[in-house]
Amino acid sequence: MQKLLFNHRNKFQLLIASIGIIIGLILLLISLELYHKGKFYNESSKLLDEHTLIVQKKVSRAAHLGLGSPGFSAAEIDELQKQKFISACSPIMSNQFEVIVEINDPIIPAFNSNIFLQAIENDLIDISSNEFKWEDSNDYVPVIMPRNFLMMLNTFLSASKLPQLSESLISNVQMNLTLGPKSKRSVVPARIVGFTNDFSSILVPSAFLKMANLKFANTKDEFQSQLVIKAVDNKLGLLESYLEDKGYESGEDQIFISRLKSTIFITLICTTSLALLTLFLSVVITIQYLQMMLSELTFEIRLMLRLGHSIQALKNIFLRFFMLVFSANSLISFVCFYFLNVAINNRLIRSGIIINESISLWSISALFIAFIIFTILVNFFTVRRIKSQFHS
Amino acid sequence: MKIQFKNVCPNIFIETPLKSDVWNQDFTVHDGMRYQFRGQSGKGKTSLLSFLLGYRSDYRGEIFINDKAIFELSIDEWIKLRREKVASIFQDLQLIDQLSVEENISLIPKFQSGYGLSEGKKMLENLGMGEKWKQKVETLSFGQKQRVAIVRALCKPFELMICDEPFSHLDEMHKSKCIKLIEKRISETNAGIILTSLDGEDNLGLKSIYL
Repeated sequence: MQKLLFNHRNKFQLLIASIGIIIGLILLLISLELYHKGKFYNESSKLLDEHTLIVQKKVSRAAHLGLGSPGFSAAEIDELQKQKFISACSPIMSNQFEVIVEINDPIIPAFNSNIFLQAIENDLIDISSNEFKWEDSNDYVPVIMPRNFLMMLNTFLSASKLPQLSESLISNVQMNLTLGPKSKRSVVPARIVGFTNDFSSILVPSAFLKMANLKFANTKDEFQSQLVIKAVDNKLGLLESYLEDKGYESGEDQIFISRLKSTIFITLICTTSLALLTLFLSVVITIQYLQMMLSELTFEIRLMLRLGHSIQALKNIFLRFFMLVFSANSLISFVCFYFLNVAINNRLIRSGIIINESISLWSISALFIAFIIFTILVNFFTVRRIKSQFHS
Repeated sequence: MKIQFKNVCPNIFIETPLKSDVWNQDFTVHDGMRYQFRGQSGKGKTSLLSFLLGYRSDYRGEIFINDKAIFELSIDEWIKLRREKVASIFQDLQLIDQLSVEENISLIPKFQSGYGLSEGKKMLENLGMGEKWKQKVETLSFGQKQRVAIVRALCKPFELMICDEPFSHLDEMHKSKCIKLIEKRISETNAGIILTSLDGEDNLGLKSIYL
């Protein structure tokens, strides 16, 4: 029966439709994948919510001349805390002593570098208090690593012609913090519990930094160059104007990422629409091909029905054929999408954009949904046409 | 299989005065009965069979199959009827030219209670067409095609055989052989037969009904 229905049939139109379906599916899958990657980019390492800013004083010529302090005084902090549109304001603590990070692990060459530590009260950052806490009895210090540090480390490894480290891999390497001046140095093991794009220094629990500053600092004077300020909901605009008036500035990275995300999302919505349009037109051409095929086979279908074949059995012959065509198209699309995705991931990672490399469930679901819709359409049009032949 | 015609009349004859044993009459075909509908061209022989098989519905009146009006038969019931209860030989033969004789016979959905392909081949050999088994139908003469159509119908399981002028292009020798095959098959299964004919058929013990 297959021979009767499908042999000697001009399949050019089906070929064109298949090419359209493949292009449409690749576009759809890649758009959804990039949308997913973009949506969740930076989410896991976002320690500050959208109402919270890191604020410092603008660097001016006066500060160089010693006419103004780059740090925040207690009075200035007190004034900020009094503002109605500020719900919380806390200084970011910095280390007042020398800190060296040492990586001492067999999988990568020995590495050490002077670094800065910072600490902030846990209630202002979005991290589990169980993971990020320190007590005297602890064997190690939990740290949150800036992504820039990982990029710097990977640049070093790359220059040494060694394989680069992923986030999960570096989280398991042995790392020590050497604290204090040469005269009274102390080595403390550290463990990475998270990554951040919001801070450019290594974050440690505030309890640890208070202890360390007390123990190793040459001076007990605290210099507070940065503050974390949380605005009252929907009052971020007022806060930004206030900061501008006072000559303070906030980090632009987060705002830049948000703007970049918006632009990318608009582009991806256009690409997704184009993909859906291409898919729609290709499916219409396929359905037209099916209709034409059913029309040309009127005599054969009528004969089958007269001989006692069921509508279901006849429909299944066509459905199987078109499912096979769509499965082949889907497979080709998925393979192309997979390699394209790998290429894009590599390009992004080389550019320093750390993203989730695995294929999202969205893309797989989209393919599955497209398959279901196609099946329903083929089923509907085939049954309708065959049924119309039944009493003729 | 019991078939009843109740006051049936094709729409095209509604305005025409008719003298017929079937049209506008009540008429019943009982299990295992053998009838031939006789009449000149244009009297509605093929139409009658088309109504009965559910191919057309352009008539007035009612037709019942096993006491159920055919308008009330579901698609599944029609399928079962066409598959298991009725074998038909169409006037236009309904063979697919691009397929071989074997493939045309293989189009029958199931052979369980009918004959198998090998029996079909034997019947064709009996009709002098054994060597045509693999040959495409388009290469056959109309008479040969008619024999293929008869064998295909005989391979089906059936309780009623419906034949629309089945021997119109057969010579006496082949007609006689076909009649023997049909007789054997309907006797085996105690099936009924309805046949249409222009001039009347003397064999098969058919009762004549005039359209």
